[in-house]
Amino acid sequence: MRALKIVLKVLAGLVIAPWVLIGVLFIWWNVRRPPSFATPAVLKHENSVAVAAGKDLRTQHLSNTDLVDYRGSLFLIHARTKWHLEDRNGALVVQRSADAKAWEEVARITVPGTDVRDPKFAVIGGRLFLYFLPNTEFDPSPKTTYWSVSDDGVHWQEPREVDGIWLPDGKGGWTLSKSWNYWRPKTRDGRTWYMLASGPLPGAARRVSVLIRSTDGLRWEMVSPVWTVFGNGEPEMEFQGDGSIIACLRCGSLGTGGYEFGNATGNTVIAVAKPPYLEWSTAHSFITRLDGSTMFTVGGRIFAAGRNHLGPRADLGNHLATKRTAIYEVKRDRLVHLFDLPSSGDTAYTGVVIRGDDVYVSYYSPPVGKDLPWIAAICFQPRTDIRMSRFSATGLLAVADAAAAGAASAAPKGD
Amino acid sequence: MARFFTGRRVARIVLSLAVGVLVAWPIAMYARHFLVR
Repeated sequence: MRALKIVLKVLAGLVIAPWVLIGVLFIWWNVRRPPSFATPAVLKHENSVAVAAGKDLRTQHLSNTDLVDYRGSLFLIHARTKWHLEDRNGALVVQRSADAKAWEEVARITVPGTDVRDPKFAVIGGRLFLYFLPNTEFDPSPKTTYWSVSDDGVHWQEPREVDGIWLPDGKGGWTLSKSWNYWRPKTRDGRTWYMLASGPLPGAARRVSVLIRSTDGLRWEMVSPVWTVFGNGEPEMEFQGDGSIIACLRCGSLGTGGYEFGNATGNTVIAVAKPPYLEWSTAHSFITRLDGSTMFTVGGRIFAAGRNHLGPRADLGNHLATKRTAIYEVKRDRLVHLFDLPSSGDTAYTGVVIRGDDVYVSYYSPPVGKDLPWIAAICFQPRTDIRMSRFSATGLLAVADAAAAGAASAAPKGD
Repeated sequence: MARFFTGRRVARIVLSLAVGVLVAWPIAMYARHFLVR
């Protein structure tokens, strides 16, 4: 009888102990102090809450931003849900501002009974296009794209699913392929639009990224697969001065597996292709897996605003780790971390607009007085604000120069 | 009453309450989202 009691106590302890540990972790996560997020003075960096989450549990998770300068106004779009996971009552909210300080809600875009996320703007033919991803799984995994269009940013067409991507059929014709997630269209000449999309390319083991193009924002045809060795997504691109495209792909691992607690091979695939964009060369950066990024050009150099996983590390992507939204310079063979924006936990999914010498970056983050890990902000304490950073483009170049000089001075010297 | 609240018994009650709060807090924070629509 005494032995049975001991066994029962041990079993109860084994069941309760992990929950006690989780409770202790939550206390620690809520009391630990975040870093200062100080940035070099040359940036003239200002950061503030653009759209506050409020305390309504139904609408407290503001996330997945994009930003565009359209017809003289700044338009910000973000998701508004109860948490990071599926919310069938979720909406995409369009906000308008003249100065990126005071925002006015001007439109709400929904698909009835469907979780919606990852909105992206593009001004095509003078019209403001919107692409976004509907999700039907509890742990979000979108597998198609919807689109809408507006002539003023306020009145939007009823969202519709895209037709799909036209793939070469190998016989000189085209075949329509479904289940693609579109990211952010860009153009160099204002006539042909290019975009990266991730989806089920025939012959590839997992969802991979391809380059597609369109002249009207509606019919998209594949130009080339970008990188198909391991699964990747959230592919972002930017044109370089010589006409080539440089892209950053979010890659969970190089075949080593590991998701919840991360892994050592989570990385950003940096891919480059010269016109006509049929052949890609790739490199890997292990300092982060650049989730939810936006690439942009300042002074002919390529930068990205995206998620900093504080790597390299053996558990890159660990759900228990905190993340930051950060600014990187994107080189053809590596990412260079420049500075973090005030952020923690579930964060990034940025939008960028450049006006004169001002770089505006929209993103989301839990309140920055705490330093929550990603998992806490996903479904336990998912209150997140939309934040706006403004910094000097000239200052950004100076910071990038200083980072390059620092790397050069730290590098081993030859004879 | 005084004999009931011995130091050992009070310590066990306090410990049990602390463990209960630690276990219930994260569960409640997660579960509350299923109650809102």
